[in-house]
Amino acid sequence: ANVIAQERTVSGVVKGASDGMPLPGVNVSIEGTTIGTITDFDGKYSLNIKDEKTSIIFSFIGYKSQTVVVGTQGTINVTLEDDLEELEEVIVVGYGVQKKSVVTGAIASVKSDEITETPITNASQALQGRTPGVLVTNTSGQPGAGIEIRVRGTGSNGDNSPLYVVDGMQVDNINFLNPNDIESMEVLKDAASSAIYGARGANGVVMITTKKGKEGKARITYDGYFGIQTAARTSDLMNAQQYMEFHNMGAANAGYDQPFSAADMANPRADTDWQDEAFGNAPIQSHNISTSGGSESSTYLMSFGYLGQDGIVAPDKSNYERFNFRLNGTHKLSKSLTAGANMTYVHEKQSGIQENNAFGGSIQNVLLHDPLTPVYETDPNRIAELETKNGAVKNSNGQYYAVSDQDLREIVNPLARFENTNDESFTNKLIGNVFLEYKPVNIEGLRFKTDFGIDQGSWSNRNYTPEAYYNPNNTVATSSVSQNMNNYMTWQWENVAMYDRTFNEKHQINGVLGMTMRQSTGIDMSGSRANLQLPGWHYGYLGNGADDNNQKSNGGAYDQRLLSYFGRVGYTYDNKYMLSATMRYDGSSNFGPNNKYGFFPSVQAGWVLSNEDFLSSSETINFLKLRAAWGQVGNDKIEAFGYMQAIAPTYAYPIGPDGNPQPGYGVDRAGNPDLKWETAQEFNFGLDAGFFQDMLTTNIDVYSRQRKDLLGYQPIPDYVGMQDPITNMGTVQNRGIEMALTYQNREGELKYSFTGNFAYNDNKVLDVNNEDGIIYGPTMFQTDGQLVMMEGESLPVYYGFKTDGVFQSQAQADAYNEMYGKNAVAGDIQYVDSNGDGVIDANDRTAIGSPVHNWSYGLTIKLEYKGFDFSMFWQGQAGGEMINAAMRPDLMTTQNYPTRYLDSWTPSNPNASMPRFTHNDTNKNYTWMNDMVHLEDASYLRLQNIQVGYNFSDKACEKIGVGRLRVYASGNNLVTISEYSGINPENGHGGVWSGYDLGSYPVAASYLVGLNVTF
Amino acid sequence: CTKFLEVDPTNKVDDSNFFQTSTEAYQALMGIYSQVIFAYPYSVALQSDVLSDDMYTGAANIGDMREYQEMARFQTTTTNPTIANVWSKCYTGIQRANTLLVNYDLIEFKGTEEEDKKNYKGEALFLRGHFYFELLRNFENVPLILEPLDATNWKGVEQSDPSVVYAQAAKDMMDGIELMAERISDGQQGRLDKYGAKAELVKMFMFYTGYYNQQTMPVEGGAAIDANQALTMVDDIINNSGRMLIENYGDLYSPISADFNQEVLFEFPYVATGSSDWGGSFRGNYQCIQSGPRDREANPGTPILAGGWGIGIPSQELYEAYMEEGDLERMHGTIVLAEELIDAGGGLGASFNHSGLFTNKITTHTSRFPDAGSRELNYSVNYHYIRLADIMLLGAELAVELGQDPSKYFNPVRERANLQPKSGITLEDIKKERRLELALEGHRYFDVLRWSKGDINYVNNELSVTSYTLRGPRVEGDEYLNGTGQNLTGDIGASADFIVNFDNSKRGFQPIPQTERDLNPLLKQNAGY
Repeated sequence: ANVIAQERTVSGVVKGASDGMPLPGVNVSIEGTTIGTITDFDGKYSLNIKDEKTSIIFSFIGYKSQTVVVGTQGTINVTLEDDLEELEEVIVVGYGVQKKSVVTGAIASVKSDEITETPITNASQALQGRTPGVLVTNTSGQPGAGIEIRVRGTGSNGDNSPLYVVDGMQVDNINFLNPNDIESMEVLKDAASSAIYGARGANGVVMITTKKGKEGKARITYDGYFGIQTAARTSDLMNAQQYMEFHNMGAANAGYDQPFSAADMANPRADTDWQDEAFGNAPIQSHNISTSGGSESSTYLMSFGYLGQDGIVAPDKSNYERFNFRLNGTHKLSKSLTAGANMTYVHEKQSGIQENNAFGGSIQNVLLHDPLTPVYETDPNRIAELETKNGAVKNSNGQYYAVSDQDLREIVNPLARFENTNDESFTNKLIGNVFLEYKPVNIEGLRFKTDFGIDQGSWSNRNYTPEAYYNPNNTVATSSVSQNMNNYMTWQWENVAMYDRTFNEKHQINGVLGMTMRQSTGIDMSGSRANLQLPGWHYGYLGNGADDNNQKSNGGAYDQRLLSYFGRVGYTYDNKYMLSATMRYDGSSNFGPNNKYGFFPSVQAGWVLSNEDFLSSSETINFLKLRAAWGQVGNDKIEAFGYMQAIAPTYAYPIGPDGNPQPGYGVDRAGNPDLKWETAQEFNFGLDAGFFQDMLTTNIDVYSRQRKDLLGYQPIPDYVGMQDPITNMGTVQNRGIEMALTYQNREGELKYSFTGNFAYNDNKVLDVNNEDGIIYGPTMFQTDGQLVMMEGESLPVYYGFKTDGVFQSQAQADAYNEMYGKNAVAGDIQYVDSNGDGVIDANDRTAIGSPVHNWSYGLTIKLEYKGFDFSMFWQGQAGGEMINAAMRPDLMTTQNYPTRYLDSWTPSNPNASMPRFTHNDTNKNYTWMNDMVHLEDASYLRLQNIQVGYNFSDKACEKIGVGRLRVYASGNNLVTISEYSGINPENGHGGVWSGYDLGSYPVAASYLVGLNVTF
Repeated sequence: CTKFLEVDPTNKVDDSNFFQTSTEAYQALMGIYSQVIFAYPYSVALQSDVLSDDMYTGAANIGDMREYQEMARFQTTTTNPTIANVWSKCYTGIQRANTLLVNYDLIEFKGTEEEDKKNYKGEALFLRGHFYFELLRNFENVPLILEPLDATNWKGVEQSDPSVVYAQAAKDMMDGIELMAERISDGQQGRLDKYGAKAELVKMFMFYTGYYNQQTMPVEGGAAIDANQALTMVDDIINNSGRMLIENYGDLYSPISADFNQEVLFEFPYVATGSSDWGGSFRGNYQCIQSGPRDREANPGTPILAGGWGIGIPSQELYEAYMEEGDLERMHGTIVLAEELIDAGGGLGASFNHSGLFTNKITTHTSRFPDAGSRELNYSVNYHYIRLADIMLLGAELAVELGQDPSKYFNPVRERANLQPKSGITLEDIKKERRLELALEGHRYFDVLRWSKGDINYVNNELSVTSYTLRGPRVEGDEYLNGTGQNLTGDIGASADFIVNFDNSKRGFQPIPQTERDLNPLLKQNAGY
């Protein structure tokens, strides 16, 4: 007999397996019919069925479908497993997204879980060592210091920082971002990929997408860590005994009296290790809380983040705090209209000490101060004398800081320097965009989007210098204060039409057409005033300065604009063959009327071999794609109105009996009305492959980028009487290979992955459009030789003197003196007559080394076992050199030195690595920049992070009422392996002209414990 | 939409729109003057005095202030940044003068501004001549540029024969003098009147005819100047400029009233606004901090001189020249002795080439202690580039040369120093007098060059120090010893460090800066480099 079908209701909840959270919007349908429903906001569904044999299919994009035979059950709860194949990773490209498998450019992607996996303070750090060809350098260890990103080497002698695009809004840096807010970061490395950002893409593009809410129940997550930091590495400096012996030797070699007697040597006043005294432990903490969720029509994400970091040097004078607020939301207004907004507000507070300064930078003081001086003065006679000095420096307990007996001028007791450092800055920023998106109902695949964004903010700084007596040669007679403020506003309006549709399942066509208008304006004001009537930092404001005669103020404004049109067409056949082309036409107010606009095209093609019949059944190769791309991108990063021959203020001239400064005017810079866009042209060939069901995956890219018409200051003779014009003046080539290799096992109890990446980049200046083929960069104080940009060498290169060892005997030296008219003695450097003209002079300067590393590499190891996870991350660079340039030629007779200098030549140490040390350096061993004394190998390998975490099981989580709970302990920056004698081999100060370490804030090693909870 | 990209700067003006009224003319003129006094990182007086036998570079050691150390030893390298600064300072001034002069006819002066219209142009012309003279006496072979250059048309520029450049500089000065004011109005001190201009023309005449051993100095498009005309100019300056010797030699530099005193014809004004800073704003006289004694306190009350960097150490030879003459007044006006500083308190240390002597002219006088700002850059001491005594002594030389009696030029200068007048005055007398009167004011080196009358060995004999004996202390006593037991009232150091060998092959000139020749290979390097 027939069982009469009886209609009844089946209901339940659908959850995702990965996070155990309810899944809204899951398709629940009866097999073989069109009857079905979708889960609601809480993942709940109910469905009427008629038959026990009915099968219900649960399907949701990104998850493996599940089919359940109803049977007699009334409640069917389902947990859907992630479908790794279906949930194919999607990559954000300019103005759109693409499935990773069909991406044809060189794009590196870092997702949110990787970004917050290592506790970082700045979003840029998430890219460090992760992707080959993207170099991330901590410019300094000072809290809140910026981070430099270089994509595929140094391309310009100007600005090398990439363009950052945050949710479509172009910004100059991403220091303001809360790393926890980031969903993904994509680096568009090759020109073809960044060409859609044409004008500003020559240094690569970093695209950031922030997290958005998802439909479903509200979830709350907390992410936080707390830790202690300490100096990761210090410089090995001479102690008191070594210092005295070394300087006695220097005096003896010069024929001068010995500065330190036997009695001094036997009983030094102190033996202070200034690094020990100046560097300490300091806390760091980060707390982030966010909530997100949404309904069918609206989603939202709100977050708050706090970062607090004290410096490892003078923590009360060097610290950083950041408060981040974010609100992202979208709302479907109708079937075809969606509106949304992403807003973030950030407040930063930063205090800092002066570093990287050869004239009294705090860290330089630490490095060069003699060890014979104690930190605090205890000698009653000396204290009595200090009491007579106006501004002798005391700590808060009234103890005087000791003053050196050596003539050290700007080099003063570092702790006294810290005591008198008073500086703070505040930054407020509001960055956000609102958009409206229209999808015509009757044209499938077409969308229009208009997006208006702003980046608005202000910055203020205050600095106070009290009266001070540091040593007889270094006093500050009157207190002074300065205040600076600026206020800026950038708006950007973007209108884009996008089309993306697949015909006959095999022909996928997409197109983008759009325009952008952008204007950046800002005003700044600054003032300074001396002689504060109410002394102290608390009163350190301009209004309290008493001296009206010397108050100084300054102010100005800027306005830069950009107008762009862009488009892209793409065609993919059957996920096998890909072809696309982009173009962008940009106009910038930075260029003169003759050349305002630039045109930047690109083409890309790809072939997925693994989708061809001959490979589709391969057991070994499960994925194989070849890519090729060519493109051009531009750069407009020059000072505004650089094309104009303009009359600008000169130094003032004092007129009248009291010398009333009169502003003068004159032509400041030679104009160049034909100045045009700089262009980078690049070929990129790539291969992406997966083996053994992606147990082994690899990406390899080979590229060659030529940066042409480089924008720069072209040296012209001084007899022209103007500053150098900005011209298109050279070509720089970066060629290299990048490779990433991952071996992973995601099955079984023990999951593991090993990811190694390395990049080799050959950086070479092909052409300098200049009479002598050289552009001179900075030099060191009172030293011959500098960093230059010159043809055939890397950018930059040290331009100094080649050495051929030291003279082992006076006879050798005399032969050289005879030949070259010199007066060297045994132990002096034998300089090479590089140009062979029989004279040794400034014309023998030549390329002697480069601060540019050719090699960079990273290695990540991850293990997961049951709830435990472990990861370790190494990164490094090799091939470049650095000058430990904190030393000062004018203080050579009194300053302290790294112990490296102890290995200087003496008759009994003939194989020394350094020439003789003398207080009368007539051979210029130390003041001619050379490859023996100055250049040091700066290669390094660093254990960036090591981490152990534990994920509580679902059961345990349920018991304590949380969705997810992870605790971890993390050590950062624990080991740096390097031969370099300074504090940090990685020094990014100075942009393209980095290469002199003038005493940089040490980078911190940190030990952290952290917690992630989701409710 | 194309209008969207058209933006104008807010801090400068396109050069084609700048020149409109007398205001812009004045501003452009101030731009030229500001190059005259540009004092960083070198200064006119210090740079020429370290070349002379009156001064050693000093500083901390031979590696410190190496630009001066090598110049002072006549081993200037072609890449010496200080000498490159002399070059660029002058040519920037020339460019600004050229820009103003080329645009001068575009400027609309009001009917009431006829005097200004003449004067501004006259001063611009004169200053162009002034910059060429500074270039000529330092580099000899320089390009002559009389129109503004731009980013491209500088190629092909070559050096001109020195006599051609001298002739043009003389023309510029003479044309300028015609247009310049008889007197600079009160409140406009710092600008030059025609007598200041004439004074430099006389100096240029003396240098040209002396160094090149010529009877006359050529003038472009006009008759050459001879010694008679030069002496007429000297008389005109003495009689009509309104300048006179100030009473007390010691008041020439130290007191505040020394600025714009009635003796000065061509003054470089500096000002202590307190606002000069390392950020690029230099309005103070940077030579002061350089000259101050090393390792000495620097408080507003530090007696006599506050501490400085010990650069520009007077030589024992100069001190001895005063003592031989019994010229204590000018010795004390010129030199501060270490013992004076130590006796007054405030501490003292030794510099390289320490002689126990310090300049008392452009230095860190207590009376000038900057009350605010970065002290290094805020000393207000004016440099009296040309003062009447200089011109009177040149008049004396001209008189001797023309067979006239030089005593009316010579003796007032001597008498002001409380020395007995002389009769039967010889050129040697005048040479000695000039040295003592003008020491450490930047004249000695160029005087020695011009007295060579074409014989470079003369210069070599005057300036070389082939052997040196360290001078012992002037005063004994424990209070004069430094930390290592050396007496600070005499020489400290190794005698070899005091040796100077003038290089005849260089003929007393500096090298054309290397970068200029690298950029423009048509420029020839000077002999000896």
